[in-house]
This record gives sequence, C-alpha cells and structure tokens, in this order.
Amino acid sequence: MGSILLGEISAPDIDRCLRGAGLGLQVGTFRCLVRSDTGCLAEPLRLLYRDYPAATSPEGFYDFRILLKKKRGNLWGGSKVEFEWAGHSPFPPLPLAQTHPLFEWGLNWCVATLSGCHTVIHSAVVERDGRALVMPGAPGSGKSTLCAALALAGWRLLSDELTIVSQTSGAVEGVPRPISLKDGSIDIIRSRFPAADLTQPVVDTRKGTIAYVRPPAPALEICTGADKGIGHIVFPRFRADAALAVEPISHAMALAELLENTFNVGLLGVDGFQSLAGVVAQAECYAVEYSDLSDITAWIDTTCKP
Amino acid sequence: MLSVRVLGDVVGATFKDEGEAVLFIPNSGDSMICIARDWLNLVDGSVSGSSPQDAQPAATAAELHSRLVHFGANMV
Repeated sequence: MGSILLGEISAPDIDRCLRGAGLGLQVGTFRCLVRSDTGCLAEPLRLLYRDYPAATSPEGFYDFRILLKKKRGNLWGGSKVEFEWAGHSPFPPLPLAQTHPLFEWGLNWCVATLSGCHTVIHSAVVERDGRALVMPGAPGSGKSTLCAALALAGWRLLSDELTIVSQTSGAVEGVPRPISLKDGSIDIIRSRFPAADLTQPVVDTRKGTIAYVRPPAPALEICTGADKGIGHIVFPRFRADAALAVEPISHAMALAELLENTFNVGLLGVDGFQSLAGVVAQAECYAVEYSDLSDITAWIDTTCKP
Repeated sequence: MLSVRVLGDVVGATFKDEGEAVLFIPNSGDSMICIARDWLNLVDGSVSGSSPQDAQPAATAAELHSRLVHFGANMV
C-alpha cells in the first residue's frame, strides 16, 4: 500500500476512485480494494479511515475485492445497495442510506472468513502493555459501548467485533476498525467524549439506529496486536440502573462461553481447542454487570493490569 | 494448570483447582460443561457415584453419559 493516508485524499477524489478502478485500503494486515457506484461511501470512509494507508491507483494483491453496487428501485421501493465479495452476495440488498453500515458488516464477514486459520471470537478487544482485554457479549450487552469508552480513554483498540487469536502463539491480532454504536449509546459516547469523531446516525437499520466512531490513531500506529496474549476476559452485561457487580468466574465457565461466541468453532480440532483452553488458562475471568460507564471503566483500569 | 484429555470423539479440558470441565467435539463444534471429577472418571474408565449438589447446573455423571451419547460421541 502507498504511503498516503486516506484523510489526505479529498472526498470527491475518493468517490472517483470508488466509481473507477477502486480504492485500496490497508486494514490491519488485510489489503482491501473497494468499489462503489452509490455515492454514499466516500464521506464516511474519509472520516473514519483517515489514518489508514490508502491507494488511489490500486495494483498488486488484495485480500478482499469488495463491490457495493447500486440496485435500481422498483415501484414499491427506492434504490438499494448490494454487497459483493468474490462474486458472492451474502446479505440481502439494503436501502441506499445503509451503504456504509453494509460495508462495515460486509468487511467483518470478510475478515472473519479469511481468518479461519486462527480462532475467531465474536468479541470486542483492547490492549494495554501487550496484554489483551477480551469482552465477549451478546447484542445489547454493551460491549461496543464499553470498547469505545476504553479506546477513547487510552486503551489501544484491536477490534470492537472480532477477537482473532493465533492457535500457535496465543497472540491476539489487531484489526482496528470503526466502532459501531447503537441507539442510546451514541449519545452516551458523544457526550462523554465530545472530541471523538462519529458518523451521522443511520436510522432504521436491522440493528436500530447506528453510528460509527473513528478509531483513535494509536490503534493504527502499531501494526501488531497483543503479543503477550489475553490477560483478562470480561463478560459485560449492561442493565439499566444496576450497581456495578463483579463476579470472578472459573476458567471452565469462561472457556465454555468463549466457545459459544467462536465463529469457526466447528473448525477447531483438538489442537485448536487445546490452544484456546491454554489461552483462557492464562487469563483472569470476570462477569460484570453495570449501568454506569464510569464505574466499569474505573474497575477495569484498576483490575486489568499486566 | 490445564489438562486436556481425549475420549473417543470428545476432548475435555479441566483447570487446576476448578470443579468443572469443558467438553468439546471437534468438527461439530458442540460443547458442554460438566463436573470435572465425572469427566476424569469417565476418561479413566470408572464412571460411578453422584455429583455434588453445589455444582449445578453442570451435568451429573449420569447426565454426562447420556448427553455425550446424545452428542453422538463415539466413546468406545
């Protein structure tokens, strides 16, 4: 990838690339080539990926060649957008206004698919001093909100969606991407971190109203992930008005929960399972219920030290 | 700290000083949690006895056996 950053390219030029041969983007260790004729992608990409290496004359190998193409509406609906990778369209077409969320969801799918030689866990993950803090959670558990709060307060973002663990070394790979916020968490993060860059909310998506937070630049300064592996596993659960409640949990319970959240669990052989169990054995594990971000981030800062 | 044993199609992990084991069937991706002592007894070929009440909701020895069969595990 060239030495230019995406933020150095104007939005009209980005749009021209997207409509032409494509825009190259380096995301973690992945090289992505993005094309789109929707006219809806240049602005959010420029805001969120401004610190990412980019290429306006793409050449060479790309891990993903992504196309977001406009589909003309019919009598009953407006124009839509379809995501395509290597000739496959894994998602149904969505309204044109959801072009950018569809790009992010599609890229998640690409990264998870192409990371199959590692263990891929549905979980937010941040890093400090080489140790990863993994935060798995079901939708609504508050993991992305918590991830955003930590990343904007000094933890290094590795991913708000996918924890990729090497089966050989136990290290966690970093694929830092914009953090997805939903509904009420958008205003919570906006008011708590007024200097953070957020996209305009997109309403009526299948996940509700969503907006994305630009990853803080430190997430991109170091290309490596968490070399020392996973130090802590925290299962957050947001419950309105709940006081902070911390429960240490066994490694067995944590491993069982992680397996439930592992995308490629069916591909884990004995060695893969043993590797994941070994990673969990080295971590401190907690279930934490919270309602106040200040409470849980303070607890994490105090507890989750190397 | 960690012990991983294999019985037929099932691989199980136990952790030092913990009373639960995590069982996993590669390929299918099925997993379950059970009482570590019962799993280790099963691996060592001595399935017997009942499980401590305070270990619920982990599976008892009998439940473990039947659930492993339900998994389709080849334990021979």
